[in-house]
Amino acid sequence: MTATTSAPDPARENALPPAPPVKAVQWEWYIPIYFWTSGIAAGSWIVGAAEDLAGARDRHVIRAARYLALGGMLAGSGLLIADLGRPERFHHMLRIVRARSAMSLGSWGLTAFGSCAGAAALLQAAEDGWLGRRPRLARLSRGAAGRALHAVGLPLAAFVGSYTGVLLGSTNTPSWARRADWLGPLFLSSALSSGLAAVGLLAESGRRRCPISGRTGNGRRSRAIARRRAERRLARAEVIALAAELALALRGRASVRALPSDAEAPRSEHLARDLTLALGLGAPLVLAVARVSRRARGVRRKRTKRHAPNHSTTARIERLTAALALAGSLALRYLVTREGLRSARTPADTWRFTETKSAERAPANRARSATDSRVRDQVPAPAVDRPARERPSLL
Amino acid sequence: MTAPGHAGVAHGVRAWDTHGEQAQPAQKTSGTSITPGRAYGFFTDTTLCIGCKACEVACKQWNQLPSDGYELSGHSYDNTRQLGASTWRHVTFIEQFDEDRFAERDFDVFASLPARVEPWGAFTAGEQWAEPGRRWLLMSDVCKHCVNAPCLEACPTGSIIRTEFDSVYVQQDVCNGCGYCVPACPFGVVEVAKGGDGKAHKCTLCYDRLRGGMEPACANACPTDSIQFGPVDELVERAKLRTDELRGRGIPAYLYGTDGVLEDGADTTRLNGLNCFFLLIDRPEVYNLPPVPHRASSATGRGLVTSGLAALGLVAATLWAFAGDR
Repeated sequence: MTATTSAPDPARENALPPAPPVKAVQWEWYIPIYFWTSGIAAGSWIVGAAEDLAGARDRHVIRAARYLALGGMLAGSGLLIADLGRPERFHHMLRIVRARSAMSLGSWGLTAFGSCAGAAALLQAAEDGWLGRRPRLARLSRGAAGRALHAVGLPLAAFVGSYTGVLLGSTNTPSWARRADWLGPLFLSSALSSGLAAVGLLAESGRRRCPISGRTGNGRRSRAIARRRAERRLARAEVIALAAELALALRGRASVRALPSDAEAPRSEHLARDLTLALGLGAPLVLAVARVSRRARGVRRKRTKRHAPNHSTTARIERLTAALALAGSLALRYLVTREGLRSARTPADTWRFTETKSAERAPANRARSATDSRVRDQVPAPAVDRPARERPSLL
Repeated sequence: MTAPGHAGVAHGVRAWDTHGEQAQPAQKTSGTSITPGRAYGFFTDTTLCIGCKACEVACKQWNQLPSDGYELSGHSYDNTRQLGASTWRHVTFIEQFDEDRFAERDFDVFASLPARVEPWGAFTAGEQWAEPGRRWLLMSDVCKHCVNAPCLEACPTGSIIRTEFDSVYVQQDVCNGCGYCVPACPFGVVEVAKGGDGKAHKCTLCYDRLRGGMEPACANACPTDSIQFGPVDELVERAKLRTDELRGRGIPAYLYGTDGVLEDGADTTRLNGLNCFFLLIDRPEVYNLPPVPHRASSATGRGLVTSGLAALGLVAATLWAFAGDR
């Protein structure tokens, strides 16, 4: 008879808790798509603002950025509202402001940024002649008013692009909470890279439909030069965004791999994660780097001779890069969400997370809390010497 | 019954005069009167729980919560499994028995008899019920009504509020079912009724009963006083006496969730205490409770700072990239 058993092993089958200690988010499958579209909207705005404030004010780029910002916000808001248990009460989000709630801050941020995006899209529509003849509005859109709007929206866009990561981090889902400080920057860099890709694609198709751009000369050669330079600006920024995204995603991968839930994930999920890192982030980064360096050489050597037609290899590679970056950004959001769901459903993750927290704050406790009952150690010896339970000898 | 009401007690609710001669029902059933402005909660002494689930039934009945179906979980006698939108009390069953318990009984009937026959032995010196390897651990789990409640801090609509009894309450006419309180809770208590009314639900500390001067239904129904209701400060005093008594008998009892003390006497949690706290005799993980519950909102400020720094860097780099090639 083992009268003096050691501390009960919580991993033993009968001692296993019937359900995980924390609950996972109850979002629908399309919430990662919301992360993605709102990221594209925020990233597009940053691109449009950068083009307007620091770049050559290429109208194709700015037009694409403004419409994408509004489109991404509309799609994202629709998905968010659809996910509510009571969609008709969506406006209750704007009853209060609560600095401790990332969801509350995000609701206000989305409202403010959405207003900016709406105003900018309206100006752009006036500029494009969709609102009839409005020369004054079109002038405003091209001029200081448009730039001021871009400048005002810039911090809001950065907030909308990153707050979703903070939102995930401010939970009790171990996989997210452990890397809470890094999810915001990860989502922001992902938003920027996907925004750059989306703007690049849309601007290119706009250029094909309507080759005349407002500011640069309208000769064939000057158009080609303006286009190439705009593409190079986007590619340079894409290198920066993708490099940051890849570095942060690799860091997140290391954090997730340290959790017990990762060992239980099916191999297909590990494969999907590595494929996302390689094809969704790594490959477009390599392509963008190659494009920037090749274009730098090309522009220097034969500045005038390279009229890349739309169906040339260069254009195809550019489209491929953008498509990979967009797909990689979406896959990244899905993976982060999935990792969180699995983590919340794995009790060992919560124990690991809360144990790490206690170790950070009180290092001396760690050894005991990890091995034996901290409580039993503290208990004074029993006053009565208990008789050992021995088998009575009947013979 | 026309007792004068307190300030803050609405018309239509039966108001009990706590200062006058008219006794509240709670004074009879829990020995305490209920005054708005004081913090109330539960002291759940798990060593007294017998797993009868009267609290679960009383809670369901009073709050008119729907049935969860008749699924067998395979986990001991616990088919309730977890707290949720329609389950605000849950009795956790933890079986801790040695592997050889059955073998011993099969081969030697007398082996299961005590060595010395002491009529009251099991209740005095032996304390066999508290020995790991030969015991049940039972705990009636409930919303902890944290002092710094992460669900309340996460709620973007202001639906979750702190009441005049210091409990944490979900206003059903405000909640829009965004579900952000669900992952914020460190104990997995609150849940959105997906497929139901689409709103978040959890224990209300029987807010309606408190308003009427009655103790919560679960505490009223508990036959062993494992669930004790009262003002938190009084409960903590009572709980400390009980802990000392059990320790004197050699049982490693401790309180989970008082004064922010959750582990080794060190203040390691930012929840700053739980209005509904527990007396446990094994590690918190065994009861499915986190050793150091995490206050979710504590990551928000830091996350915003790192995001802001990243934004500064990325936006500056983007502007540079665009300015470099006009």
